[in-house]
This record gives sequence, C-alpha cells and structure tokens, in this order.
Amino acid sequence: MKLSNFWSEAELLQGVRENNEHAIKTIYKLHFPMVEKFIRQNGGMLQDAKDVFQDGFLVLFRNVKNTDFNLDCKIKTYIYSVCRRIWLTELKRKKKAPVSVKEPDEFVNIDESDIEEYNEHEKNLLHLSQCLVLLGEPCSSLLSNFYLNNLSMQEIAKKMGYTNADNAKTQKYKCLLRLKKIFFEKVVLKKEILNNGLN
Amino acid sequence: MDLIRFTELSEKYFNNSLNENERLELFSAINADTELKLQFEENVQLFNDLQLLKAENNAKQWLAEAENEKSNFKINYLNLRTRIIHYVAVAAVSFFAVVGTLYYSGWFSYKKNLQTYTQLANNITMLTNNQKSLWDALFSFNKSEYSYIAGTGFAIAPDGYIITSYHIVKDFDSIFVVNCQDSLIRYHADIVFNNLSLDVAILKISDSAFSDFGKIPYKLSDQNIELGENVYTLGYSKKDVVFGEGSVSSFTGYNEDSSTIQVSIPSNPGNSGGPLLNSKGEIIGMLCAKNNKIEGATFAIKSELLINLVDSLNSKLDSEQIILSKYNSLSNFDKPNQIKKIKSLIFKVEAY
Repeated sequence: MKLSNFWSEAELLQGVRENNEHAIKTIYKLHFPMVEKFIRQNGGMLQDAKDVFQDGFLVLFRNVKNTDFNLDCKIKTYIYSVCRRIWLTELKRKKKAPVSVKEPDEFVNIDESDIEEYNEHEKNLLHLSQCLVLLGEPCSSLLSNFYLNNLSMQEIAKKMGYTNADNAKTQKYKCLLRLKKIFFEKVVLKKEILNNGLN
Repeated sequence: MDLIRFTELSEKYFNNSLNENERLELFSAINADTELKLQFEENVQLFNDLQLLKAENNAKQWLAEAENEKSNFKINYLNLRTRIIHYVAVAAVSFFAVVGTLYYSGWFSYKKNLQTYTQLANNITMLTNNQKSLWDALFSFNKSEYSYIAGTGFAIAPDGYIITSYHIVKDFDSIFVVNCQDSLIRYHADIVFNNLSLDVAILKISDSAFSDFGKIPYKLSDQNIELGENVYTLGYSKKDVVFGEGSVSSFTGYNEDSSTIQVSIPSNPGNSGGPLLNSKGEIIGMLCAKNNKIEGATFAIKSELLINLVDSLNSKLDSEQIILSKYNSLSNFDKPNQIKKIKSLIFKVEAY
C-alpha cells in the first residue's frame, strides 16, 4: 500500500483532526519506535509500549479536535512526553518506579490534570460502549451499525430485516431513547457511588 | 412533540442539517419547556460521545493496522522531506565526485597554469594604443588604428625561407622581416606554411629587391640534445639584436611536453622564433614561450621537429623545395665569431 505523504507537522495535525487514516498511521510509524525505546528502557514490554502509545496518541487525538488547543512543540515531542508521563504514573501505581529514568529523547512537561482528564473521558466512552452492549438486541446492533460502523439506514434495514428504512429509523430513535436513559442514569449512579466512597 | 420526533430533530441539529422550519419547531419546543431543554442537551452530548467513540475506535484500529504494516514501512515510506534530503545528498556526492575528479586529474591546475605560460611575441599593441591616444590628442582627425607585433625569425634555406613562431604572424596579414646588421634591409614576406599545435610558421621573402641569402653557415641539428649543454640565442627583444645564453635544463617543456625542451635563458617578449644554438653553432631549437612563474624557464621547439616539418612541407611542394643546409661551418669558431657569421641571417619579424 502506498502511503500518502504528509509534508509538514501542520498537515499531519490537520489529518489527525479530520480522522484521516493515513495521518494516524503515519504518526504511529514515525513515533512509536521512540516510545517503545523509552518503555523498554524503563522496565516495560512491547505490549506495554503499544498500550501506552495508544493512550498517548488518543490524548493528542482528543486535544487537536479542541479548537483551544495549541501544540507548541513537535508532535513527536508531545507524544513522547505524554507517553512518558503515562508510563511514569503507571510505574508509580505499581510501586516500582526506577531510581533513575532513562530519557532517550527530549520532552516537555505534561500536566497530570491532562492525563486525568483523558482518563475520565476514556471512562466515559468505555461506559458508553458498555451501555450499547447492555441495551440488548436489536438495539445494540442497530445503533452500533449506524453510529460506529458507518452503515446507512437502508443497509441496516436490509441486514436486520426491517420492511423499509423508515421503520428502521423509527426503531433507531426508540433505541436511542433507551440508550440515553441508561447512559445518563449510570453516570449519575456512578458519580453517587464515587462521592459516597469518598465520604 | 413526541420524543422520537424530538430526538430526530436533535440529531439533525447535531449534524447541522436542520432546515428553517425544523429549527423553529425544535427551538420553540425547547424554549417552552425547561425539562425538554435538559433532554436536548443530553441528546447532544450523547451524539457527541457516540461520534467520539467511533473516531477513537477507528483510530485504535488504524494504530493496530499500522503495527502490522510497520515491517514494510521502511521500504515503502519516505516522506518528501526525507526524499529531498536523499536527493540533496546524492547531488552533493555527485558534485564532489566531479569536482574531486577534475581536481585530482589536474584540470584546475591546468587552467591556472595556462596563465603562467606566455608566448614571447613582443606585443606592442598597448604601447601603440598609448601613443595613439597621445597622437589623437594632438591630431584628433586621425582615426586610423593599427598595432603590430614583433618577434624573431631565422633563415633556413638560401632562397628566402625563414622560420618563426606562428603566434607572431597568425593574426596579421602584412609581414616584414628586418635586419640592420650590415645595412638596413626590410623585406616583405608571405606565410607558406604554419602549424598551430607546434606554433611554427615558415615564411618566404616575396620582395623583388631580394635575391638570396647565400650559403647558410649553420644547420638544424639532428643530434641528441644533452642536458647541461651550453646554448645561446639571438633575438630582437628590442630594436637591436640581443644575445642571451644558458644551458639545456630539461628534455621536456611545459607540462612535460616532449616536443619542446626547457632552457635556462632569460627571455623577453620578442625572443619568440629566435634560434637556439649550441657551442658548435648548430641550431638545436627555436624559442617559443616561457613560464612566468619560474625564473629563466624558456621553452624551445626541438630542431628534429623543425626538420620533420620541413620534410613534410617538401613532400607537398612540387617545385621550389626548401633545401636545408646539411653542413655546419661554424664549429671551428668561437662564440663571437659564430655570431658575426650568423647575425645577418637572423631577422626581426614584424607583423601588421
């Protein structure tokens, strides 16, 4: 496969902002080796590197979609710095932080709050996908196909045996109402649990 | 408005595809009911989260795919910047290869050394121009412009053949040979032969006043030249004839040119075409040039090449062959007497 070329950092960022497959793959190919090196030098395995890189990339991914966000260093440095922060936090959590951290590359300081915000956000999306499963059939398939898998209503109607697309559409909105109910209920529930736990 | 319709409108709002009527319908409903407004905000958030979930799922999938493609990556993927760097590197390597080759093969030193090689014609152009400007200042109506060049030449055959350097005569059409040793003689001459690569021209006096030189007392030597041999020359580096002497310092000339030898005679413009004689009075060469950078390095064409030239010219000429002198009648004389005998056969060559 021939990969399209991104000629500048700005174009690469724009590609990420627009969910461009090639841009995302390019970033992985350009910058994963550096993260892998850091993780391996500091007590991690290849799989850890992949997980951390995915998280680090998603932080960037979410941030570039935010119009307020300004990247004031290279993409490489940013991803490396985020991944570094995530891995150091992980090491601390496992209580086996190395005495000295080997730094194969330059990095900028990343706020803990950025990572926490990201974790919150990830939890939220995890919750959403769990809710989608909890809905049960046919709502789960219907909504997943439409919202996640990019199928058109006609295709869905055909695939799931609805007489026409309008029927499927009415069904979709019914399912959405149910999804909304359990999604926001659970969030409220979780927050209450969390608050109770803290108290 | 039922909730299904409300959800549909919310989605259209989120996708920015509401038309004007639907917009009115939606916002009048929201503004009328605060509970509905809360529902609307939740709807928008849900759609937003669904969109994000899709984007992130895709991104994760692509990252995983990229991992699998990575092995092919290094072969397939070079972005433009990397390519430019490669091309620049290739260009730089080629450039240095070419320049380096030229440098080591002596191309540049050849170009540079060319400037140190000077032909010994007495170029009077500048002098003439200076005089002309004076002249013009005095007589501004006189616009005629000419310059001339002068060198030396010597007789090789009794019937008026004179050999000289081609660079003296090549740019001019009027050639005179001048000698004022016994009495002033000044003859017009024509070029009968020239060889640019050896820088040799053979002139023939074409003047009705000229009869013949008489016997030529010297001969063009066909003997081997000895290193360190004493040699001398006579030349017209000024109006009167000038003697110069030295010795053979090298068998080869400029840049190891084997057609010339190097002699340690101080030479000046005007010496070009002068004969190079050894102590026996044989002509072993003809001065042609000098090296500006080396003191006393004057170059002379070997006499055997001059003999070959005359032979090849004779093979082309039907009548009036050039008969070179075969005997040297000077070997028993000392240098001042040799000069006395030959000075009337050595000419100043003027070209206009």
